[in-house]
Amino acid sequence: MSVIEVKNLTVKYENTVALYDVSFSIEKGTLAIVIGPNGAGKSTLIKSILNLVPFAGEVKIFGKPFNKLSKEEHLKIGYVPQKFNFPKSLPITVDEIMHLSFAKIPISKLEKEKRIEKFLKMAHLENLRNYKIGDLSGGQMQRVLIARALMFLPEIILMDEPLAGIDVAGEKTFYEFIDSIHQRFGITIMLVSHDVTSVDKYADLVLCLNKRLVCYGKPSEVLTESNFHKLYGQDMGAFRHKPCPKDGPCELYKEQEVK
Amino acid sequence: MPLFLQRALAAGIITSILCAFVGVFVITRKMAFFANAVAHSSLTGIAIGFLVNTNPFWSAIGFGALVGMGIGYLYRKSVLFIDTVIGIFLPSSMALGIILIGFVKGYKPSLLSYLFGDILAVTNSDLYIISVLSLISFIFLTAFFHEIIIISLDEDWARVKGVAVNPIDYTFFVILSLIIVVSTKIVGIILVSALIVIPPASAMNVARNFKETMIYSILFGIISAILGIWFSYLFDISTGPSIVITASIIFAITLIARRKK
Repeated sequence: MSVIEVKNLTVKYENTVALYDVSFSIEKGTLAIVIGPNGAGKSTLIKSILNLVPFAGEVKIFGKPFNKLSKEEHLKIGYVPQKFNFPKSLPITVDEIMHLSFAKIPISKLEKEKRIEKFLKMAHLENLRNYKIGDLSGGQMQRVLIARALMFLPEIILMDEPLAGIDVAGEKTFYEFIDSIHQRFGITIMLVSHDVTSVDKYADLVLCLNKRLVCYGKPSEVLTESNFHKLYGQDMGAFRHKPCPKDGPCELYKEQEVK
Repeated sequence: MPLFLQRALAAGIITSILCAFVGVFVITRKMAFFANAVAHSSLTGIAIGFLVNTNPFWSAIGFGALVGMGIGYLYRKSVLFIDTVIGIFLPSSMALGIILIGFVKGYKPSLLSYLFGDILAVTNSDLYIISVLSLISFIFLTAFFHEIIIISLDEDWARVKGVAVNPIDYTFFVILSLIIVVSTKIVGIILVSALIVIPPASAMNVARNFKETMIYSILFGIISAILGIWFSYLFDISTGPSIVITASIIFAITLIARRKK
């Protein structure tokens, strides 16, 4: 069952075409990763699906256009923006962000409290609950945004470059975290990433975007040399993860050598 | 206490509470100059009031609300930053006001009171208008308190969650404009942005969280109004500037307190 359907999506900013004739669908429970060079329209794609930018074409979530979704269906959609644009000097704590986001949601106070505690713990933020958000690092802030999205128990989460501002070590932790919530809750996840190696390891579905949809399918099928060339305009390959041996460390090898 | 002083205190406290409350959202949205634009545009409204022979307070409120909505509309519909939009509205509406005032026949003493405020001249009728508008503003701000915060912090996220961003936001712009124009009665067009910006800025110096920011902002607003009016009465100085200077002194104290933390 498709939970996200996009048909002939075209987005123009003034006289610039950001996306042209993009069509695809994402099945329930899929971890889809969007890759592409800077300016390829990756963030625009996420924003179009969420009806945050004007577009031509057809976009449906849960089989309906975004503006026809019910209040309950809106709550089933999680969104993690690329960054949280607020004045750093504003004294607002992690705990307040979580509670304010939950305001007027028809669930009991006890349930809200339970969920906030659970997802802050899951995102390793339980000790930062009373920290002002201006005092958090980029990675910690990103985890707050993910915890905020998760506490609504969404069926779909869209993440716009969630790894922006996270270091290499943080990237690995992030993907493991995303993989665990994907496995545990069966959430449909669509995220934008530049890290092709992790795409290969974690994604069920890859969307290669460069204003048009260059390729679309399973990582093993689409992460090919010719697709990379079409996407980035240069020869490159993806590191693939070997299955980890029982008595040794996991290792990476490069399937397609850089010419 | 003389009756005029009681009215001044009542008007000062009501408007300072509202300005300090709404000011936290204004600062969160990085639109401190919005107050200046709306306040200066009220000059046009005042001139229209004089020209059509009606209460200039009402025409100022109407025109201020229009400008507030205009800023909100242009900001959403154009590719311009909010400060650029404000930078267009402020001088344009001020220029229009100056031109229209040129058509007003004779000397209008109350025009000066709008420029610099004259809280001691607040009448029972003014106090009634201030109270009614403040009540409307207060009802809206408390009813949509959470939505306004969420929109101020992360508008896209609010839209994804199905919050009716546009109606709430436009109403917020109108209410904010009402509060600003009403407050020009207290400190005048030129100084009104101080009531919106300084108390929340002082609160942010010492608050540990958002709840404290709200509480301190309102508290500092009330203290500025009471002390400012008292100093004005005591030293026979202009009331509007006296309130603003008191608010600035509170800001300086909170800044020092922050540095010592």
